Amino acid sequence: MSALLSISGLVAGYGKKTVVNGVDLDVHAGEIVTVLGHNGAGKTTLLRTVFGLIKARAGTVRFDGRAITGRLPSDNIADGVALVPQGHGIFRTLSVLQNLELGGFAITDRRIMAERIDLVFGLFPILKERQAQIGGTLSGGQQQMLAIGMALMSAPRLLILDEPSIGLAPVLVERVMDSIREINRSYGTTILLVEQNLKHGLAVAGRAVVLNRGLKVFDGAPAELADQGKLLSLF
Amino acid sequence: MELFAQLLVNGLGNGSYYALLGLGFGLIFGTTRIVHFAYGPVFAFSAFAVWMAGKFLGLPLWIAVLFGPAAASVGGAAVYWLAYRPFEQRGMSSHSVLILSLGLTIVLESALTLGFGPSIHTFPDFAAPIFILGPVFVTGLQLAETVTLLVLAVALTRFLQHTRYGKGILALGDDRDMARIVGIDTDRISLVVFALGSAISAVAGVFTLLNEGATPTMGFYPVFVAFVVAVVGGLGSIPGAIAGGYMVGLVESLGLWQIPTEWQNSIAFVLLFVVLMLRPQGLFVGMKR
Repeated sequence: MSALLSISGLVAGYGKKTVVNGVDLDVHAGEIVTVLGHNGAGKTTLLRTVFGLIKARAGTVRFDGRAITGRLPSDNIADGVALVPQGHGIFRTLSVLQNLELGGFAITDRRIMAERIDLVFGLFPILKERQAQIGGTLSGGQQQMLAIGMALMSAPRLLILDEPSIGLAPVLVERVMDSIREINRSYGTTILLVEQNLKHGLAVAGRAVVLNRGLKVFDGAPAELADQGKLLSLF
Repeated sequence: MELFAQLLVNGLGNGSYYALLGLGFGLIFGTTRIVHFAYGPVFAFSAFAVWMAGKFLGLPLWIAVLFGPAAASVGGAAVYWLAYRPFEQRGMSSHSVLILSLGLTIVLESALTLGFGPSIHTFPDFAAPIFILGPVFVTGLQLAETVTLLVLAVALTRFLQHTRYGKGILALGDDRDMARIVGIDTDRISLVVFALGSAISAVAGVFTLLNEGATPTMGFYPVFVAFVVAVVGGLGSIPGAIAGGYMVGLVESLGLWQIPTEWQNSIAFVLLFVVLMLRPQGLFVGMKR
């Protein structure tokens, strides 16, 4: 079976710095893949390059068999790729509802827009209650749910999440990870997730990938990684 | 007392004019974060476009005025696309863009001077009607400034809230990175914002042409007032621009009651200083919806 997302030899960075140094990674349809690694290991850069926010310096990204390297985020969204960025992935001065509408910016049909919003409200009922509230005044957990909800508005086949647990209390991290699992199970959405929180990242993953200084140093079952010695040697 | 009433009327008239300037500048600055000082020469260009339509094409005023927003939106969009955008794409710092903006202002003002000469150009055969209301007189232009401001503010609010481009503008003004992540073409939205903001400035430009005539440097003071109004009101806020405009207009006009005329142009900056000390985020931040 060919991969839904196929990254090969990807090189990317900022200015004079190369952060991702030739990474190969396949993500198959329906999988949850967690990318682990230190700060500065290149995790965020990898995701942002795949999504088209950063130019790749070398290598290719293929989605559903077609090369999408260097394509605009808007084209990726139209094709079924969505990104939940690190930190507050929302518009802080706009209402919950406006945020969701912007998440579905490409949608021109009002009915589809309403259906998708209902779907997000079904997944995160708190957002329905808070729909008129300004995004920046939501709690951290609610902001993260809104960010995920916005990404779901485009009904992605591949959902990319950059450290969704960052800055959240443990009980909220559980809640967010549960919803990621639920999205994967209910809609068959393929998930590519970056995590610094090893425990949560491994718990949710079907497969784990470890990056170190821009290189992939592990790719396999999370159980293999759970062995403490193996983890330490990789990090 | 009569003097006070007259100064109040003048202050409100100028306030409407300043609010128009702040609205256009704030839309551009608040959305793109570019301190667009070249707003000044584009504003002047719009006045010259109207002047030429009257002078050379012989068009009546009500048709000629349409040339102002049209010329300004093309001029503003061209400045963004040809000057600012290449800088943004190379990831230049906001300082470089600011210097570019100042340099551009000088170049464009010089170009206007070369094209039109430094003298004052007035619209052929125009005299504003004056109405006497009890102890004060109100000019037709003051009334027109106030009415156009209110109409444009309502129209712009509706545009931002209810159209796709409007929502894209709000999104870009909130967070550029997020706007790209949800698939908004930020270059195109910026282009629209420059066209729209410049067109609004042109409305003020036409009023300046009719009030005192057009000169190549006529945009110099207005762009600074526009900056003050937008910052005092709160970046990108429509109610803020209106409040800021009237505040500058009234303080400037009523200040004349006690303060010598030579200080009139400085009053706006004293106001900026005071507001930034007390409320650095501006009066209306976060109320743009």
